[in-house]
Amino acid sequence: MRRDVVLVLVCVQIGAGVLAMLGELLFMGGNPLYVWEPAVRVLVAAILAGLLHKRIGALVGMMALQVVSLIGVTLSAVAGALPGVVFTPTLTGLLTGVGLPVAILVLCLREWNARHGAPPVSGHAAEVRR
Amino acid sequence: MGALRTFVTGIAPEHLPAFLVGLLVAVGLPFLRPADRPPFVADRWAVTLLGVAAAVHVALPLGHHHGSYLLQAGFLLDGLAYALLAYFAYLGRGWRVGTALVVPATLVGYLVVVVRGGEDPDQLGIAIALMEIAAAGIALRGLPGWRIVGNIATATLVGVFGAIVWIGSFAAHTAADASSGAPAVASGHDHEHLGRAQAGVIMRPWTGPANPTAAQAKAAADLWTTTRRAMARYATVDDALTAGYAWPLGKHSGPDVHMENKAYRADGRQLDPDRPEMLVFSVANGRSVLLGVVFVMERAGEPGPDPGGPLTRWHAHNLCVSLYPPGIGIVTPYGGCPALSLSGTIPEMMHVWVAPNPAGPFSDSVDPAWSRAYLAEHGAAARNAES
Repeated sequence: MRRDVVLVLVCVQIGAGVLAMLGELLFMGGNPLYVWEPAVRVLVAAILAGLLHKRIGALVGMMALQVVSLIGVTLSAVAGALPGVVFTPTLTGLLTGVGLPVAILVLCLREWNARHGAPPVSGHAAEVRR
Repeated sequence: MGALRTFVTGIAPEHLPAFLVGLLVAVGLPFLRPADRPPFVADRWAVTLLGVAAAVHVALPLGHHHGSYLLQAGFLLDGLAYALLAYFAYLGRGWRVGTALVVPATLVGYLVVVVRGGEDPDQLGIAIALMEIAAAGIALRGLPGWRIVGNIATATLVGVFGAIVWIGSFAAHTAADASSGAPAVASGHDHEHLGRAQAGVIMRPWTGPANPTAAQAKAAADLWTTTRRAMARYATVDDALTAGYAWPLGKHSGPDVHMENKAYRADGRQLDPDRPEMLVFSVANGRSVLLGVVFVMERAGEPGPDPGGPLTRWHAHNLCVSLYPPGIGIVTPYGGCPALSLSGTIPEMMHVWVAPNPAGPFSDSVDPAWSRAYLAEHGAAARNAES
């Protein structure tokens, strides 16, 4: 059941990622060079999400993907200290850039703990199995 | 504009009570667990997502007290439906089918209102829609035979909803811009378009009186006259290139080619009609004509001077910079950028159109069709203009 929630949250990320890719594609005059990298990210996320229940490596990969997303937001915030640019926090930006990756990370971490027989980060032990 | 002010500007004032109520519920609901049994993870998520959606919808009439009774009844009805579904999710049964039906209906209703111009999509509306889509996705995952379809539907719904909001937001901005030739710019939220989706454009709200004073109107007129006179020396793009202005990245033609002078960007001068940071040309078929200038602040986040009060409004752009391949995009309504991109908001800017832009002398944009027609009539041959 935890995997179901992770899958849905990853689908939300994929939808938002494809939209961002299309936005940049339009802005850069339809240059297909701007498709491949976001497309690879979407593909990797989809494959990892599909393998979550089978392979522990997929769980690790998914967590790594979320950490990369969080690093991106952190770098954007740091870049905001430059004179030519400022970091603009928006409600949706915080939700998708911080909330979503953190939620997926925590869910994956709990799944990891459950599979390794360790007590979950928090919550009921029975809940982990569901 | 400060970070906190930008954040708050993204939420329509009439939605602020609902935002605060939603925030409280979002913090509290995850701790709510039935005492008699361990809850399913999916049910707990549904309780939170649907509970927040319910709280926000029920609280919306608090700010929409001037709205129609029908709209307020719609908010309450939707809120109650979500509350009921959240309660069933708490009980652990009977919430999935209802959620899968109520969420699309709510989203369609919201989009109809947005597309018909009834509401400028704001950050709260988009955030709640995202939570509702996630709740519907979780609901579908638990319905037999709908697992794969649910995943595809979730990603598609996020993309399509975001695209419609994005297009609607730009259309509303362009429409508001086209009508801004009139001097009055209301300071209240009801009439001022602030691009609250914050997807590519960050508007600075005007907090003063809606109509300009005589002094402000004169200052705006003086700025326009002085700028127009000073720009007479840039008849074509050749003149601009000679003066140190450069072509934008990969764009040498179009109805609004923005040429930047890097030296003027860092000369410490603000709103200097003799040294505008950018020139805007219409360029096509070996001909060009100057349409206007863009004054740009040197530092991001620093508010530009507004001698004309509500007439001379500044805005900024929140952009995505992709690292590989290097490119520029704009931030989506979900506040995101493509993978391996950084986001940031560039310094405030203000357009002054020396050509008779029908949208007004200080409008944010120019109609491409009008620009092409103006070029056909007034354009001059330029050696460096793309043919």
